[in-house]
Amino acid sequence: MLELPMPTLLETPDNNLYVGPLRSAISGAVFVPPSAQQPATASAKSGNGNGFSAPFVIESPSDAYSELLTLVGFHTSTVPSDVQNRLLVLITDISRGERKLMNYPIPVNHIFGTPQNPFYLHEWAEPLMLQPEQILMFQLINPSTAGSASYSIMAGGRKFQKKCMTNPKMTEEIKALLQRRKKVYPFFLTFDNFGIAGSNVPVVTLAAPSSPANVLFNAKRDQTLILTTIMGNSVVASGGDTGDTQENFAVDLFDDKTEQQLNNQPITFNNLAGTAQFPFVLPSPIVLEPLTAIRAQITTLLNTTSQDIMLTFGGICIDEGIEF
Amino acid sequence: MVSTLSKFVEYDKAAKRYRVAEKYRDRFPTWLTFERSDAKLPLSVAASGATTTGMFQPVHQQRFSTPFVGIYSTFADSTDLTPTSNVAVLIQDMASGRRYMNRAQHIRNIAGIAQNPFIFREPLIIPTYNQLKFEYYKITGGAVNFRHYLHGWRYFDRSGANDLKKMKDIENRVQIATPYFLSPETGTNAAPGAVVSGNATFMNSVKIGGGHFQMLGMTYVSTGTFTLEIIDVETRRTIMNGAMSAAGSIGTAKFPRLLDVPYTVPMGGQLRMTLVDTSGSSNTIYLCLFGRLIYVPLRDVEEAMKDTSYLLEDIFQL
Repeated sequence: MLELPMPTLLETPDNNLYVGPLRSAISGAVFVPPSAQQPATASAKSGNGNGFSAPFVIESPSDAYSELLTLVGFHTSTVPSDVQNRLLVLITDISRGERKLMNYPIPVNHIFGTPQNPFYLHEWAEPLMLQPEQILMFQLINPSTAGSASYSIMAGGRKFQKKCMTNPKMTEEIKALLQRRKKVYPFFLTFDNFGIAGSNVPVVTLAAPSSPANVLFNAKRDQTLILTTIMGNSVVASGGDTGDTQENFAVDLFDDKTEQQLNNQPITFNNLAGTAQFPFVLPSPIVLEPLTAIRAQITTLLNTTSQDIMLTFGGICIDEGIEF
Repeated sequence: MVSTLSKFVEYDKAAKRYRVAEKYRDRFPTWLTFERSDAKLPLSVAASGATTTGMFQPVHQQRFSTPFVGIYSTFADSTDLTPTSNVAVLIQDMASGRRYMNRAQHIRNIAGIAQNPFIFREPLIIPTYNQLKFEYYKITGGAVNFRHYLHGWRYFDRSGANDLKKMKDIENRVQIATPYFLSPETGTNAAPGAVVSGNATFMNSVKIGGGHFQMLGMTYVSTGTFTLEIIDVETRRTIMNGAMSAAGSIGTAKFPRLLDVPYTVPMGGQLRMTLVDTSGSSNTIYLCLFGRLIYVPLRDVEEAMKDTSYLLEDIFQL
């Protein structure tokens, strides 16, 4: 059940409807990069060099604390589908010592939903809190040779005006939120595998037929990760394959620390992962302790065609990871 | 102020640190499907044929075993593609012999895909050393390769906080209630649809047996448009105050129509379903009322469910 990400504006203490006192202190908000930075563009990959966009930012207003609750993005319609399928983004929280919200660049389609179906940070991960004038930095990475990327983003959320800090209760709540955000933040985890030579992006390339690929999703020393969603996609080299072109690949998942296998038989793509619009929400989260990993063994279901596979876990990172 | 804090993290006041919420520490998400030696796993269902297979409570590597608590169902069909798949499935618990449906249900009424799974509103639990039997029937079209997964979790004593009581609570829940799917009793398991001639009316009464049926929602698959009316025969109460268009009021497994308040029919009661074709052509209708079957006397339901109600929190928070 989604909570309404807005305060109640109408109150009826004396059976009269009127705009509540919170209206001037808290409001719903949409956050976008400056218009000069949108859409962000990244040239096509050339040789071994990926295309990069100039960094672009979402900045919290100078008079408010900002809480980001949803993420939305869209490709310019003329962008080739190969670019749309492969385009990646790196998100850095500048206010927290350049803290990255992911271990490696992640496909934009695994992070940004659509206006109708945004990626809900507060439901599937953790909202992101920005202090006044603090910024969140984005950079696009285009590993496709098919053409340039052109991508726009926005975030939905709410603003707490600075003046609401004159209210002791509000001050207390916002301080608690800020304290929590220092240690708890949204995080996207992909595997440590750079399948395409020189691409420097996390992808598993499976020729068909081929042996299964084993990849690791690693938690760092100072992270406890709570993984709640799975997003994925596969880019197939060409059509006409006689294999299972609906599912494309199957995966076995293992928790490396406890040696638990999470499935009794390989999980095919459509039973494993979604996209940022409709992620596969795990029935119960995977808790990844510091310095442990999820291992995935990926098998192609195609007979003659190679494919590039990208998989992402979305969730929450607790800094200064705590063991049980 | 409206809270946007994640339910997965809690603050440990004593240690002054944030940590994973207690109930999530000792669980592993689990994908469960039928046992096959083929790594690629498709189960072949022949044209007009039937295939029977099983799903087992998964092996556990700790000293005690753990039940499987399933809350999603998804499937994939490599030939028909998901939107047109035509397979029916009958699920039966082998230990108790209980069926989880009065007859085979169209797969698109009880399973979605990873992006939009069908969510059981009563957990489908496979207790220790148990198994479920799945019978698949190809309703129309040629042979297909078929996959069906249940998604849920198992327990693992990682934090040391787990105990056998929790396992017992869960296994007790199966004795109290299970998921249940109800459809008109017509045709056969291999052809479970109600065939309604153009503009004709089809009426069928279904007797509730084995327990009390608590209806939580509705889904349907059909080859044409129709209207629906359901009457509780015992009380002569109509569940809707007039015939309603299926397309406008009933959902699919991916996006089902949930009742705002559950409707309970005691054991021995009957539901009369009236389906009226509005397409003008022959119409095959697979209607599914889903919910739970409750196996304890009505007066004891509240007490019986109290200890295991926490299982439902995760489902209704989705």
